[in-house]
Amino acid sequence: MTAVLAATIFATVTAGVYLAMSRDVFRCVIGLALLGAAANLVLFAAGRLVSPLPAVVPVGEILLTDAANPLPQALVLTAIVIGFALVCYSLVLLLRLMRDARTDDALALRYAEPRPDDPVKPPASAADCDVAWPPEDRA
Amino acid sequence: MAAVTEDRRGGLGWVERGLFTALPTLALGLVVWKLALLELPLSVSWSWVPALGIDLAFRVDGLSALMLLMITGVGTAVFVYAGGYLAGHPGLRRLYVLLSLFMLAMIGCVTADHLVVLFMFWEATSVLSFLLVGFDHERTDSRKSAQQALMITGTGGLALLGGFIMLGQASGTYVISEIVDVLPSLAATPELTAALVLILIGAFTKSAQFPFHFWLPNAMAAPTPVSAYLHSATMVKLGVYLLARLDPGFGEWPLWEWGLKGAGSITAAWGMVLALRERDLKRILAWSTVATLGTLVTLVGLRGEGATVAVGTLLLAHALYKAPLFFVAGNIDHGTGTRVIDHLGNLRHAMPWTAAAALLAGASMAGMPLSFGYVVKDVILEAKSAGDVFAFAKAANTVFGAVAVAVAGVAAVRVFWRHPGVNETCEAHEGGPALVAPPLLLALAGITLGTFPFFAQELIAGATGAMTPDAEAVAFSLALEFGPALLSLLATFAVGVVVYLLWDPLHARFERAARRVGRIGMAAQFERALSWIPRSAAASTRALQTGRLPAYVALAAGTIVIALAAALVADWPSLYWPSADGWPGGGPVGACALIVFGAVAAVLQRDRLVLLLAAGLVGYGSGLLFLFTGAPDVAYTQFTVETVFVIVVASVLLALNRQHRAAGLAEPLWRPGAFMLAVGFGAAVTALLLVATAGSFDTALSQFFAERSVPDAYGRNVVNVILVDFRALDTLGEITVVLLSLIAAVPLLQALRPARDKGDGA
Amino acid sequence: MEYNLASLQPALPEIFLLSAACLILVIDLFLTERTRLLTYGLSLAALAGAVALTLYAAGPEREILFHGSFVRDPMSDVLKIGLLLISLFAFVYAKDYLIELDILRGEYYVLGLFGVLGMLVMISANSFLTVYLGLELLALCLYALVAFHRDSGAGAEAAMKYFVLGALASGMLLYGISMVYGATGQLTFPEVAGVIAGGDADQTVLVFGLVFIVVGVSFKFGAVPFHMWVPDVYQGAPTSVTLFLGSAPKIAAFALTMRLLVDGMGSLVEQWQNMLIILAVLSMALGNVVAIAQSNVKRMLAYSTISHVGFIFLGLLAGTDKGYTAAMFYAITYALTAAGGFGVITMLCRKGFDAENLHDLKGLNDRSPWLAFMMLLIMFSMAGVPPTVGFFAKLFVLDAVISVDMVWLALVAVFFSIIGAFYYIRAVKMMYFDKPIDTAPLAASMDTQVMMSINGLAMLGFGLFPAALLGTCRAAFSG
Repeated sequence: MTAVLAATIFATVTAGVYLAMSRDVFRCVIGLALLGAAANLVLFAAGRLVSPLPAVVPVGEILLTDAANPLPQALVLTAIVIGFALVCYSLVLLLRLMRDARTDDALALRYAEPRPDDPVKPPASAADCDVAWPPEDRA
Repeated sequence: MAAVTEDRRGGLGWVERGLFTALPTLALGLVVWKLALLELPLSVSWSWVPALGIDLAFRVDGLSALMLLMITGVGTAVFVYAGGYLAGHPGLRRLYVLLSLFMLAMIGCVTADHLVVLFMFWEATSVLSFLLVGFDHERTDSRKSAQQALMITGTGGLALLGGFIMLGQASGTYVISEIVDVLPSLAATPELTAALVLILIGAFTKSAQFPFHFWLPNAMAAPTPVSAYLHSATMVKLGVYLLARLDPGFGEWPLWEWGLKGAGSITAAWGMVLALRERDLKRILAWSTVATLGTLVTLVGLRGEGATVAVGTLLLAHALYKAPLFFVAGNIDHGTGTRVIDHLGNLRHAMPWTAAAALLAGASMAGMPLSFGYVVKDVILEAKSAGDVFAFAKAANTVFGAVAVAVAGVAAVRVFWRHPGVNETCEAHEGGPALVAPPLLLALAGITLGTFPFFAQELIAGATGAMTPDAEAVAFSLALEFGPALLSLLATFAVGVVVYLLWDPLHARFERAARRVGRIGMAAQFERALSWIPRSAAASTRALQTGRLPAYVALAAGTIVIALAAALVADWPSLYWPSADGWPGGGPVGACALIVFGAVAAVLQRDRLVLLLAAGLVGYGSGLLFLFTGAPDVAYTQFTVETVFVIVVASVLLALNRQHRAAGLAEPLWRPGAFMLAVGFGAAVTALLLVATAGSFDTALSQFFAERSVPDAYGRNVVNVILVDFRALDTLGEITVVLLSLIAAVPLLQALRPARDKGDGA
Repeated sequence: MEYNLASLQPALPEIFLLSAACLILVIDLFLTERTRLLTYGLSLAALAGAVALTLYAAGPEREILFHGSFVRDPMSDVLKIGLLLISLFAFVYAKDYLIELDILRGEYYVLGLFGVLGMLVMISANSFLTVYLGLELLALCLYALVAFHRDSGAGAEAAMKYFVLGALASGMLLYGISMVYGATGQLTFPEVAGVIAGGDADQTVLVFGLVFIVVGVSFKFGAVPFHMWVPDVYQGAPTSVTLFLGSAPKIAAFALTMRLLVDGMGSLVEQWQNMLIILAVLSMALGNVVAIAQSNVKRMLAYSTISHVGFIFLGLLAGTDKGYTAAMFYAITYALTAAGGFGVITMLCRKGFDAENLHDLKGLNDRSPWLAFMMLLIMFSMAGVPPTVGFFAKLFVLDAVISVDMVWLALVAVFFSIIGAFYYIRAVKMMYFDKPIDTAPLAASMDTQVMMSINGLAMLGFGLFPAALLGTCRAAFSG
C-alpha cells in the first residue's frame, strides 16, 4: 500500500510543481491546488494506514480497536477545507487580475515593479513574451 | 513648528544670542571651578540598561579635563562669533540649537567611561556634524560634503562599534578605565586584533587620518564658526582622544604602535603637501589641520612620557591658534566676500583687529618664541628625539614645521600685508566686536600661555598622568628654553620663510602635479566607489528580481530540492525504507490510479476546461482513497468540496470564456528545466515520506482520542469527536477561514461586476 | 467535556476580537458612506478592548487550553500587546490614506481585524495545526488587502504574486508538519519536543521536516532566498496595506518561529541554527545592497525589511534566552519603526497622488519640519544610529551572537549595517537638504498627527530608556 501511495504522491507533487512553474497563471493556481491535494495525502499517509475500518467506536463498546488512525483524518479534514477556501479565493483573484491587469501571463505581470526606465528593472523585451520558460530552452 | 517658521523671518536678537552663549560659558565656568576644587579623576555612574551591563558611567581625569576646557572654551568663542557671523541669518537659531547639542555630545564623548556610552555620543557628534556641515543646504557642494563627511565618519563609527563590542567581550568589561588596566595582561587573540583594527579605523575616520583624510577639507563648506569648532578644535580631535585614552592598554602592541606612527606620519606629510595646493584660505587651514592631526596620532604612537606631554601640549596649542585662524578666515570672507588668497591683500588697514588676531595666532602656529607654539615645538622635538625611531625624524620635523610656518605666513601676513596692488578687496570692512573679540582673545591666550607656560603645566601634567599612568612621578617642566631648540627652530623658520616666499611658484608646480594625482587621490577613489555601489546594487537587483513569477517559484523549489537532496545524500547510509506491505486490493489502487491519471492529464492539457476536470479527478480520487482507507468522513468532505470547487471553477471559466480566454496560454507543454525541477521536488518529497513512515510510530495521541472519545465526549465517531470537541478551536478557526474567504472574495466579485456589465453591453 | 467561561479566560482576546470583527462586519452593512468612519472607530475600540483583555488575562504562569492547542504564556502576552498596539498605529495611519484615495470601505478594517486575529492565534498556537490555521487566516486577509484597491492593476498583480508564493510556502509548511507528525506522532509543541528530546523519533526525518518548516517560516518572514514576493507586494499594495503588512506580521512571524523551532524543535537547535545562519547572512547582504539601487521608497523599505529580518534571525539563531530576548526586542521595535516609516509615506499621499518615490521625500523639512524630524528619527532608528531604539536592537542582537562565540557573524552584520546606512542617510539628506519637488501643503488629521508623534518619539524614548522594554522581553523568557 505504501508504495502505491508513494507513487501517487510523487505524481501529484511533480505535476503540481510543474504546473506552478507555468507562465499561465491559471495553470499556476491549479498547480498549487494539486500541491495542496498532495499535501493532504502526505499528511494522511504520515499517520500510517493501519486499517481500512472507519474510526467509529462500535455500539456497546467504549474503546476503539483495530481501526484507521482517527487523528490524521481530522487534520486532513481541516486542511481540505482551508485549502478549498484559498483556492476559491485565488480563482476570484485571477478574475480580478484578468480584468485589471488584462493578462493571465505571469511574465507580463510587471506593473507592481519599478518603471521601465529604472536601472533596477530587467528589460522586458518583446521577445520575452514569446520565448518559452525556462530560459534554458533559449540557449 | 512655530519656532522654525519664526526664524525664517530673520535672525535672533541680542538677548537670545546671549542666552545661547551663556550655555558654553556656564559650562566653561563649571569646568574651571571643578578643576580648581576637585582632585581628579572624578567619576559618577548610573545604571541604565542593566540587562547588558550598560551604565551611564562618566569619569573625568586629566585628559578629559583638557578636552573639556577646549570644548567649552573654544565653544564660548564660537557661540559669540556665530552670533556676529550669521547675524540676521534665518537659520541662526537652528545653528545654535545644533551647536549646543553638539557641545553636549562632545562633553559626553570625552567624559564617558563606558564604551557603549562613548559610542553613542561619538555617533551623535557625527550626525550633528552632518547637519552642521550641511547648514547652508542651498549650495550643492555643501550638501555633498555633508553627506561625504557623514558617510566616512558614520562608517568609521560602526566599525568602532564592532571593535568596542569585541573589545568589551574580550576584556570582560565595557568600562574604559577597567579595560585599560586589563588590556596589557591579555593575550593577543585574533578577536582582540580585529577589535584593535576596527577601533583604529573608527578613530582614523574621525580624525581624518590617511586614507580617510579627504573629508575634512571638503567639509569646509560648513559656515566658519562650525569649521572652527568642529574641524579644528574639537570633533576631529576625538579620534586622537580615543587613541590617547586606549594607548595605555594597547601601547605595547606593535600593530598599534606602527599603525599610529605610519598613518600619522603619512597624514602629516600629505596634509602639508596638499596645503600648498590650495588657494582657498579655509582649505589651506584645513589641510594644515590634517597635518597637525597626523602629528598628534604619531605622537600618541610614540613611546615614552615625553611624547605624551607633547600630545597634551599640541592639543591645547592647536586649539588656541587654529580656531582663531579660522575666525580670521571667516572675518575675511565676511568682510571681502572671498577667501581665495589671490584676490586678497593689504587688508590690515580695513581690518586692523583681525590682522592683530591673525598675527598673534600665526606667531603661535609658526612656533615663534614667547608663543605657546614655541613650547610645543620644543616638547615635540624632545619627544621625537627621545624615541628616535626614524632616522630622519628631525629632518621631517623641520620640513613639517617649515610648511606650518609658511601656512601661518599666508594666513597672517600675506593677506594683510602683501599684494598691495590687488584691488578687488577695496570694500573690505571690519566685523563687529562679536567677530573680532573671539579670535583676539583665543590668540592672546595662546601667547599668554607661551610666555608663562607654567599656567598650563598643571593641566598638561594631569593629561599626561592620564595617558601614561606609570609615569606620574616623572617631573617635567614647560619652560621657555632658549637652548639648542632655538637653533633648530631657526632652521625651521628659515625654510618656512623660503616656502612662504615661493608659495605661488610652488603652488603652480604642485597644481600641475596634483591634477594627475587628483584623479587617483582618495577623494576621487571614494567618489568612484560611491558611484559604483548603486550601479552594482542595480545590477544585482536586475539579476535577482527578474520579475518572472515562474522564476521565483523555480528559485524557491530549487532551493528546497537542493537542501533536501543534500540532507538525503548526507544521511543516505543510515536511512531505512518501509518494508513491502503487500497488495492493498483493487479499491485503493484504483483510486490512486485515478489521482495519477488526473495529475498527468492536468499537466498535458492546454484547454482550461479539461485542465479543470483533470484537477477535479485528483480531488475525487483522493476522496475515493480516503473512503477505502477507513476515512469516510474525510471522503465525504472531499467529495463535497470538490463538487463545489468544480462549480466555482466552471463559473470562473464562464467568465473567462466571455473574455475569450478559455484556452490556456500558448506555452510549450514540454519544459525540460521545469520538468527536471518538478521531478526532483516530487522525488525528494516522496523519499522523505517513505523514510518518515518507515520508522516506528508513537500512537499515544491517537490512542488518547480513541480511548477518551466515548467516556468524555459521548461520541462514537472518533473523527467527529476530535473535530468538535478535542480540537474545537481548530474547527472554529477553519470556519473562520471559510467565512473570511467569502468576505475577501465579495469585494473582488463586486469589483468585477461593472466590467462584466460593460463587457456584455459592448 | 465541559467548558465554562472562566476556563476560557486566557483566550479572551481572541474570542473578543472574533466576535467584534463579526459584529463590525454586520454593522458595516448598515452604514452609509457618510457614517463609514464608525467602522474605523469601532475597529480601534476592538483593538483597544483586545489590549485590555490581554492585560487582564496576562500572568507569569503558562496556561494551556483546548486540549493543548492553545497556550498563553508571558511571551504571548508581550507579543500580543505589541502586535495590537502596532496594528492600532497601522489602522490610524490607514484612515486618511483611504479617504484620500476614496477606497474607505468597511471591509478594510474587518479584514484587518481578522488578520490581527490570525496573528494572535499564531502567537498563542501550541500545536502545528493551530499555527497553520492562524497563518492561513492572516495570509488570506493579506491577499485580500493587497488587492483591495479595486482600480489598481498593480494591486491585483501583487496579490497574485503574493498568493502563488505564499501558497507554495503554506504547502511547504504542511509537508513539514506532516513529516514531524509522521516521525513523532504528536502535534502539540511540548509533546513533540518531548518525543524529540527522548530520542524516540527518527532524527533524519525530523531534519527533513525541519527544512520544510524553516522554508515556510522564511517565506512568511521574507528572508532570502524566499523574499521574491516582498518588493513587488510592498510596491503593488496600497501604501496603508504595505504599512500593515510590513509591520505587525513581523511580530507574528517571530512568534511563529519561536513556537515552531524553539518550543517544538528546540533540541534540534544545531540543525536549524545552521540553516538560519545562511538565511540571515543572505538576507542582510542582499537586502542592504539591493536597497541602495531603489528609487521607489516602498521598494527600498521592502529590501530594508529583508535585511532587518536577517537581524531578527541573527538573534534567534543564537539559540539562547539572550538571543531570543534580543530578537523579540528587535522584532517589536522594528515593527514599530516600519509602521512609522510607512506612516510618513501615507501622509505624503493625497487625492490622485500616490507618493512612492524617494524623490517625494525631497524638501520634507521645508514642507513640514515636524514630520521630517519624525522621519529622521525613524530612518536613524532603521540605520541603527544612537540614541534611537534601532541602535539598541542591533546592539542586543550583536551581543547575543558574540556571546555564543560567533564573532564573524557579528562582523558580517556590522559590515552590512554600514552598507545599509547609505540609503537611510540618503533619505535624510533628501528631506533636509534638497528642494521640494512637490510643494502641496501636508494636511493630516489630528489623530494621525498624534499617533505619528508618539511613534517617532518612541524611537527616541525607547532608545534613551531601553531597559523597560528589554526587561519585559527578558521576563517573557525567564518566567
